Amino acid sequence: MHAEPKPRPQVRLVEVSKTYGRTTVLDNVNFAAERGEIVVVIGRSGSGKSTLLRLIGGLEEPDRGMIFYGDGVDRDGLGGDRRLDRMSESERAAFRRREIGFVFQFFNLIPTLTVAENVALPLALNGVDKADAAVRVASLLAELGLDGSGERFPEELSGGEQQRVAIARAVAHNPGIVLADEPTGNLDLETAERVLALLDDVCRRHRTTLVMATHSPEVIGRADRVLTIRNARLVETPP
Amino acid sequence: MRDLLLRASARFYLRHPWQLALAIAGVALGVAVYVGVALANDSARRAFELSSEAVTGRTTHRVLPIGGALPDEVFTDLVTRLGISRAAPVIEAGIAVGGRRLSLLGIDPLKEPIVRGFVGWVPERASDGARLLIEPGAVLLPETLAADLGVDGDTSVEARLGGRSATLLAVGTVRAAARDTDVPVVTDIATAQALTGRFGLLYRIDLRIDDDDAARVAAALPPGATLVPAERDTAFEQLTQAFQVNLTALGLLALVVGMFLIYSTMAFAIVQRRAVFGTLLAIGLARRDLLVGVWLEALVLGVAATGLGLALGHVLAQGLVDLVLATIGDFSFSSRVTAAEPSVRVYLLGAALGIGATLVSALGPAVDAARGAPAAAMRRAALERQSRARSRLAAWCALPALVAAAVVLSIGSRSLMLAFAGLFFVLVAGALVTPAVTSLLMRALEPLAERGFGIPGLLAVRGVTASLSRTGVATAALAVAVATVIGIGLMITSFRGSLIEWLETTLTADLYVSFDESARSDDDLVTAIAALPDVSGTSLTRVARLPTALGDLGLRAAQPGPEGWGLEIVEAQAGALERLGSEPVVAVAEPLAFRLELRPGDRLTLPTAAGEREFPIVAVYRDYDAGGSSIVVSLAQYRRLWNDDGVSSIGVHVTERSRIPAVEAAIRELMPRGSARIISTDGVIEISLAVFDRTFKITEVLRLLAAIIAFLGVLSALLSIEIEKAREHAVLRALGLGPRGLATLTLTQTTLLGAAAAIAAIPIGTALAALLVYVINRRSFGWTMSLDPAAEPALAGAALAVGAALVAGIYPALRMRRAELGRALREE
Repeated sequence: MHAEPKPRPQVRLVEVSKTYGRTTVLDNVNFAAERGEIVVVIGRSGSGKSTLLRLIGGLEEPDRGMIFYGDGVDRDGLGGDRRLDRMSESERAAFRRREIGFVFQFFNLIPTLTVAENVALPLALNGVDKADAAVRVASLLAELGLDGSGERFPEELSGGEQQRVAIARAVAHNPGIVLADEPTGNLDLETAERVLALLDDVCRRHRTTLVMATHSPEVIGRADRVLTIRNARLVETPP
Repeated sequence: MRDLLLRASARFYLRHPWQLALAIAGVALGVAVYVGVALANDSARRAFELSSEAVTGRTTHRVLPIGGALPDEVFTDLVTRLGISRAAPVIEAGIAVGGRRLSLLGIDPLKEPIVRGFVGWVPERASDGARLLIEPGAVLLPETLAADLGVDGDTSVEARLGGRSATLLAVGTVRAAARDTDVPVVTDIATAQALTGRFGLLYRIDLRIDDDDAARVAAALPPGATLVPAERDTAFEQLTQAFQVNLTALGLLALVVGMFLIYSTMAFAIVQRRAVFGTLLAIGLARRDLLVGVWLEALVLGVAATGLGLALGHVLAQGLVDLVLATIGDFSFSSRVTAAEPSVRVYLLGAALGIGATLVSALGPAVDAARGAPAAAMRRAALERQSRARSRLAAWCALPALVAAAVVLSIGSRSLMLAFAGLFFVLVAGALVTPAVTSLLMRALEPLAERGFGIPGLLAVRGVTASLSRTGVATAALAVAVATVIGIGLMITSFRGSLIEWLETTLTADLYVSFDESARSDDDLVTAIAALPDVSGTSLTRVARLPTALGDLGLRAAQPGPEGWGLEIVEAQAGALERLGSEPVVAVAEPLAFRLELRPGDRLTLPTAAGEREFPIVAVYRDYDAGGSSIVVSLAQYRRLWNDDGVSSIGVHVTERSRIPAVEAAIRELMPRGSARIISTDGVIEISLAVFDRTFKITEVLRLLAAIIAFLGVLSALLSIEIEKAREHAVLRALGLGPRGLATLTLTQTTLLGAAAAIAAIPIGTALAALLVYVINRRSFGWTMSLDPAAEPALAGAALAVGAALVAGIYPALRMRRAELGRALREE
């Protein structure tokens, strides 16, 4: 009788530290998330949640420690064959292009691109054929209740609509991980609830790992796992 | 409250040092160019005045020969019969001593101090003047030359005059009486006559007399001599002034381009703080206080930038003065003014212009800051919407500017200032229309960019339009600078083309044998040259100065060769050239015709050997010889009316081009060594074009400076965009756009900016060239020429626009590459 193999972590941080000036934001942090898992990171403002997300997303480099991305092949016995902390900026850019989707608190849509063009942006960066991209964009916009808004510009949309466009953009290229930094921080409660539900739903259906930084307690109920950053350390918290 | 506002402004600029640097650089460079040109112009004026003064001194009047030279008897008659004691005879000629070409001044040592007063030079010892009278061949050498030759005490020196050798006895030295003036070799009048071989003849007689005596002298002069006031050469002075006005206009243009830069920088500094200003207005700051605060900020910047500009201008002037003098020196005179001198007037004017330009440029942004509604002031989208609306409005405002240009150009058909005002309005119209052109171009490019490069392409194109509040002004500044480059380039190309055409028409012979005044040709030489193998004919020219009430006029008496008169006719009566050959009629050069408003059919009064006489004008011919001859008459008529049978040059027509060297060698055989200069037509053209190119060298420098200021404008705009779009670029990088992709995006945007400026600049530049060719040149120098629609200046201008924008984009692109992603995303 074979034992069920333990799912491999999709991303792993091993003893990672990050300091800004004299402030140590993360100190010897270990973190792992499996494919399709929804992980919520909570903590006070300035506790290091966003920094953790930026390290996972390759937007910043750790001062110490290792960041692994696993694809099922364990070449060095340490968990994965890609060391994000050893990549050049160009390699990290290519990595982000393929593997990561971002959702920001302030949406960060490109104001000079229409809704459809914003969603198609990661597909274009990945060289997806225009016709295929158009089909994918239309389907995503419909899925997120934005059909009919494709030709509008971000400034013509409400905050909730803008965040839904940001979610569509984050998952458009089927990334392995979506990193959401305070995705509801700029929305009213009702809209925030709807946006969270959508994000949750989209990631679960696409088996996309979602790592979400927040300090809103209502998000916690949707998490598979909750981690708290306290005194620059990451602590597992029961959901 | 103002104190707080100023303190906040100071901290803002300290945190954004490059913005501070660019704002200061824009105005400083503008002021520097203006001050540099003004100081260089002042030096040129000083050189001109010194040259005139050296010749004129205390002299009030002059007796000049009409055509040839004055007989000694005229002087004797003045002194003995009319009792004019303050009269000094003068002989001038060229002389070479110790390998240097100098002027030889023959004077009466006793009269010189009384009449001219040693203005240009003073003898080292007072007794040296007397020795000139006693010692045969005695001369006073310029101090520097004597030192170089090691002359000390009485020393024999070898000299060459009109192809002849002579031994002179240096008995002393002379030094410049005023700084920067050329010092001649000075000798007694009798020695000068002996050296030049012109016994019994004088070059002129200088007089120091009152109006009554002047009337008596004028009435008593024999035919062939005339009395003129000892004034400067007005025609040359006008020419020099026109040249200086052109330079000043170019200098001011640099300041205008600098104004764009300060406007752009101030506008951006205000836009960057729109949230702060919005908050200040929201908490109750009076709009007037905000307006005054922002204006004070501009004033402080303006004062600092102007101070720097004045210092830079002084340095720049040292470089420009050589170029200005080289140009004017080529026209007519030489001087030893070599450095620009400080001028309080120029500095005050430069300071007023610099500070004024800054305050005017900052007015719009200051009003914007004070007027913006608190809520709207915080929204970028609102600002860009406003900018797009303004660009459309500005494009419509170009129409009144063009109408103003047309009005200004039509009301004063001779005014150079109004011509420049018209040119300025055309530039303003061009600048106003440029943001709208940029917008339209980007809209037209959108589908192409999307098809070719997909969403990154769209991002680049839309990025330009989306930042119109930044890019609009920068593109306009670049377009104006590039239009100037194209305009001047097209004008120079057209002028050069016209000059070559004119030279080829005018220089009908293949070789020219020219003689100094003191080494005249004789008929036997002409006959001998005409009889040489391979010579198909000769043409003869006599050049003379005619002193008239209108100033000295250059007269060219010609006997045409087998290829005719070599006149490029602008306007003529029927059968003009036939009449010119056989009747006492004249053709006048275009600049003179323009200056005196003369046309064929009019009459021109000229002094002849037999007194004044009216000459019908049969033709107006093209003449680009600045300060050269202005009137053409047939040689036969000249000899008859002016009693002068001299020849200044012989044009030799050769049967075949290949035989020119052989004919040249044969002519040299016929003449004593060094008695004349022989030059081929190709040689004349080559020298003329070299002078032409040197003349316009200064415009290259000024064009370059204008381009640098425009470049700084683009750099400023791009750095502004870099700051404003930092988060947008960080998002793109987060989505996976690599550093190279981001750099490509930035450089594509900046190239598009340059392309938009180029597209706007080509028609503006062409309009500018047309104005320069048809209006400014005509009013400045009286020249007409045809506009050569050459592609090269436009292409060079377009390359400059795109190149400047591209280079300006490199630094912001590098900064974006280096920008901390995390930080950019953190800063909301």
